[in-house]
Amino acid sequence: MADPVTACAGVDVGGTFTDVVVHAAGHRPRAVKVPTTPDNQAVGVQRGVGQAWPGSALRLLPHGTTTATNAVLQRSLARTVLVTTDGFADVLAIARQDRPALYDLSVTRPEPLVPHHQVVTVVERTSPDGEAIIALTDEEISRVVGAVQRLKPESIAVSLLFSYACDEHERRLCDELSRLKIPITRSSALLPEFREFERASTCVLNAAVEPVMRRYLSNLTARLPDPTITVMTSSGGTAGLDFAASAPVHTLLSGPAAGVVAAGAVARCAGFGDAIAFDMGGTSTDVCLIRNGQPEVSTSAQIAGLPFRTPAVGIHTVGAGGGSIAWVDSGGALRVGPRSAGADPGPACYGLGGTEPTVTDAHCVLGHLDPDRELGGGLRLDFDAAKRAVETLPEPAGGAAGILAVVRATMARALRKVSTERGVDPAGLALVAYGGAGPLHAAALARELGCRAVVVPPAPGVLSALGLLLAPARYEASRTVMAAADNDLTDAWTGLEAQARAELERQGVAGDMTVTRIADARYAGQSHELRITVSHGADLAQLLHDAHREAYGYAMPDEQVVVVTVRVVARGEPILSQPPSDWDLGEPASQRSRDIGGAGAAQVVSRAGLSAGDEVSGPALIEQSDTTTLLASGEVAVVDDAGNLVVHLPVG
Amino acid sequence: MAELSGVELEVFRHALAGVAEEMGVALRRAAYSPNIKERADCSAAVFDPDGEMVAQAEHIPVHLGAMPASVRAVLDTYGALQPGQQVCVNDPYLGGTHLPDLTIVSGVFAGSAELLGYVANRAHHADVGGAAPGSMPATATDIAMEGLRIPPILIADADGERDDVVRLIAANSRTPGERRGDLRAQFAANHVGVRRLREIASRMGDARLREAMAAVCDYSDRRVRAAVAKIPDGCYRNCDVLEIGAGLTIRAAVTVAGDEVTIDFDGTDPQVPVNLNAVFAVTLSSAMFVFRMLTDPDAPPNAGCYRSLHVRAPEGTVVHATFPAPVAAGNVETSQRIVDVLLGAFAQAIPERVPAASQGTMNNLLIGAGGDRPFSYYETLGGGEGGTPDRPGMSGVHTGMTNTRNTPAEAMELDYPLRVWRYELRSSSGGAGRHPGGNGLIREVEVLADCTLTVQSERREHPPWGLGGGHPGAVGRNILRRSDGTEVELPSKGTWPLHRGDRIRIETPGGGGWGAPL
Repeated sequence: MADPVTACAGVDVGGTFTDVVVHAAGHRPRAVKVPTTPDNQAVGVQRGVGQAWPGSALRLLPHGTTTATNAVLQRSLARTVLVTTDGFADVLAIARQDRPALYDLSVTRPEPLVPHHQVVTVVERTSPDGEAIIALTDEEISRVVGAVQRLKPESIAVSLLFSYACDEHERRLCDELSRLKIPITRSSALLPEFREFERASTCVLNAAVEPVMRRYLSNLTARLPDPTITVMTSSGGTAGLDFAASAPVHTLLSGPAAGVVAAGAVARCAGFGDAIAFDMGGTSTDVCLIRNGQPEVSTSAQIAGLPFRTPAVGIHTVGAGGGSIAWVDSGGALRVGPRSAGADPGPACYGLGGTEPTVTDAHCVLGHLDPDRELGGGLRLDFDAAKRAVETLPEPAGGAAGILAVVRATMARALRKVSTERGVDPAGLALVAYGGAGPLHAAALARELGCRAVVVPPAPGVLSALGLLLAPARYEASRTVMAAADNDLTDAWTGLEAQARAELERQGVAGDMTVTRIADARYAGQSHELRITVSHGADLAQLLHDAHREAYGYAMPDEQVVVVTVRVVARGEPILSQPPSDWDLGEPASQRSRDIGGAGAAQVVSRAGLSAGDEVSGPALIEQSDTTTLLASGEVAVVDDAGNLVVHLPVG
Repeated sequence: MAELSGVELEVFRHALAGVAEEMGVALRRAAYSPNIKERADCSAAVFDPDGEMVAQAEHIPVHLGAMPASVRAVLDTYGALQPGQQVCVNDPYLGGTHLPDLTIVSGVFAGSAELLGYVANRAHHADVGGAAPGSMPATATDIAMEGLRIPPILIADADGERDDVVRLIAANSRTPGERRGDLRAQFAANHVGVRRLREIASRMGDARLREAMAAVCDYSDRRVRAAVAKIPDGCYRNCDVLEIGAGLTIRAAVTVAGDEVTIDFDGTDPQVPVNLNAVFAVTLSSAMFVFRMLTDPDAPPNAGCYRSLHVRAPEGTVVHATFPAPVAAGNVETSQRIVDVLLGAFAQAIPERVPAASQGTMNNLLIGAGGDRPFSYYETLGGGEGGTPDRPGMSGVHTGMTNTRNTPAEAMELDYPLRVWRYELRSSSGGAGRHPGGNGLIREVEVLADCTLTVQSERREHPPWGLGGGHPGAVGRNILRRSDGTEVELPSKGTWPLHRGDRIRIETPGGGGWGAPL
């Protein structure tokens, strides 16, 4: 019997279910799904952990949470005041002055999180060189503190012009504001980078979710006092509780980030460094490019039209999934989505009153799903209802097979966005399929794109929870320097390195740390930077030339190279170095066969009955409790040593 | 011809749109200059073997009608292109818009030299010569003063890209290195388009591709006609003015008959020796913009969307300029006024669908200097959107024929000897109404070095109108505050010397209100 205190639980709170995966030496991985408790996610977490690992202590609990995400989407946020430089009160409202849709009048910009009357401006000014052009006086500080106090905020965001170049004004202001005993987000601490709108937007998002996140985390630690809890950030790394509570803007993509980290690890261990994570759920689908087993990380993202600049995995989301509704438009084309049947009533086959045809109904009609499968609560799929719904479409629309062809076109376009549009040839990529509907569509999609393989992990339904055990602790420190490439940046690098190491140590990371230097650089006169990894003593200009050639096909060696921002990423060791292979998938069902849409009989195989080296030839359906993998005629799935189903596809 | 099923239509539409989009992404990624990269002043499109547009990546409305016109001009000059050939064009009188917009067209061939179609992309180059940096001099009296005019010319042939032509274009720019970088990006974008279209052809077969291209156009045509049919028949007339001299009048008669619309600009004032002249492609783009907005904005963008639209404009007018009229601002300002004229006409037919006038200008602001510390800052400023039948207008936003992003103050001050003192919404500038117009904005900039200011703006005298009892938005203002504290209000357009310490404050117009105020 292993020491129970070595057990760790990855806990992912999703919209419907809270998933827990427990890793403990000497035990098989255990997975549990319990309903999410939306009002206080901590209740569901406690329940799930209790079921997965009853009675014993946990050492570590890395956690993916949608607390910040939901707070923004539902706008249940703290009443926030923005303090900014005189003359820039509308920095949030003007944003980048573009409109979201060129022709469609019904699409409008999101309301700023802080309305005009909750903005307080400060008479002060710093120059791009960090000089005070208009000094910040003590009288002005007192006036501002009074004005803020009168607005009775629950949270304060301070984002002054050019504070990334010199933070003195922001610091002095925040020192005085701290007397109000209200949470403060200071832009020069959160995001010392240039571009005032993006910095202010990030800062305000952070301030508005801070009290919500802090409340949730203190609830959680009260219920689960023993394990060290860490929180997944959008970057695909975990952070300590203090960081998550004070910088919750970093957790806005917490949920999907864990999934793509796991997808990366799955791909790597199946022998594919480069892959696309393909997570198809009920209402939406997330895709993300993976290079060398790591999800691509960008420096910005947005939520509900509100941009923020933090490291974030490069997830592209399309509003189509199993619940998307099919319809015929005024020009006679069959369309799928963006409307979704959601969870209530859900697809017609759920028998909860849905009558419109969805993607899941199409799968029912084509025999891809098991008619005897339990939906929970004793309910079974209602195939007649599915058939009736699909038959509401006019005859020439193409029926169930048509619905799937259209969804495939939508998905193919999403996958191209993260591959070919970034100059990556799909022929070198594997598709890692998860989410309830991913493995049903993956092989056909991979063929259409020309990917080399499909990988379905052993437990695709809890991949995000597993990802939490596979994610390293990660902290990124950055500073805008705006310097010529031949400047000596040693002080900036070493300062950031010390800061990043200290932060990880403060989060309780022991053992080995990897520290990477990154520079955002561009040619003088360009406006977009390239993110380049810098080894000690490297020639930055040469690195940019190489990166530019790789990204765009040419370099301009005669142009001056500017380093805009320097970054340091520190990483600790993850709990698991690779995904476990010894899942308990339950008892295999007996082998059967089923007719699938026009293609004749397909063998139906229970995933639980497969072990390493087994092969399944299409047409086939490989069933497990949380998903079904569909193989067409000619496709062969092999179970690899890690328990993944791998479908190799002809390339070229 | 075989019909496409509803499924095939939808699948093929995604595939074609993907080609154009991927070209646009490649262009922006590989471009050198901020104008293309950050502000996305570029477009990409796919055409069938006859030059009919079958898909477009939509960034800038003013490129809508101009892309097909450029391809038409290329085919009229060279006939069907041969494998390897690429043609460059910017001539506003031959399918261009204004000189900085360079279009490159490539033929797409299957292995057997069978022509599958064309791909084309257009990008706004920061400088193509002429009398002032940026190639949009306010002082131009003819097109020769606006820069290098390129009629359709082979820029690549079977032996590859023609460096002699690239050298010629680069040599005529103040920033030749940048031109080479941006042209290279344009080649790269077409390369991507060629490859993707070939892939589609190899999957579905050449003949089927041809049928499918026709079918998606038919499909868009059906959708748009279904929307046009809901507009009451009739002839709706409107006019509005450009602010130069006593005013230049643009007149339009919009005739709706069944599922077709005819727009006739008869009665519009003659062209002028000032850069406000719009070439026909710009006028067509503006008409297409309004038509798309009011019919089916979601129909796949291709030639089929405009089969039910007919546009006529008499030659030699400010909406159909001919050689040698200067045209740089026709693209950025006159296009906006044409939109207003047409919206006003449609408002008589479908008042429940048409928004009030938006700011109706792009507020072009150019500040630059030559000498030993040269710089060139160019930006267009957002303003108030008109109130719509469903909601208030947005504030401080680009409307109509452009949608370029702003330059952050922190970027401006780093790159130029400028200091931004104010960048805020202009309160109470939106017209009152049940759905009020959006507010304009205020940009106040101090120059830290002696330099030259050029402003090109409209709606400084005639405010953006309201609809259905909504009030007009406030007119814009251009104010110069000298370093000694004296203020002068500048006219809507012109060029002035500035001294260190002077401040220019642009107050952009508010949008008109929709419906009587409650």
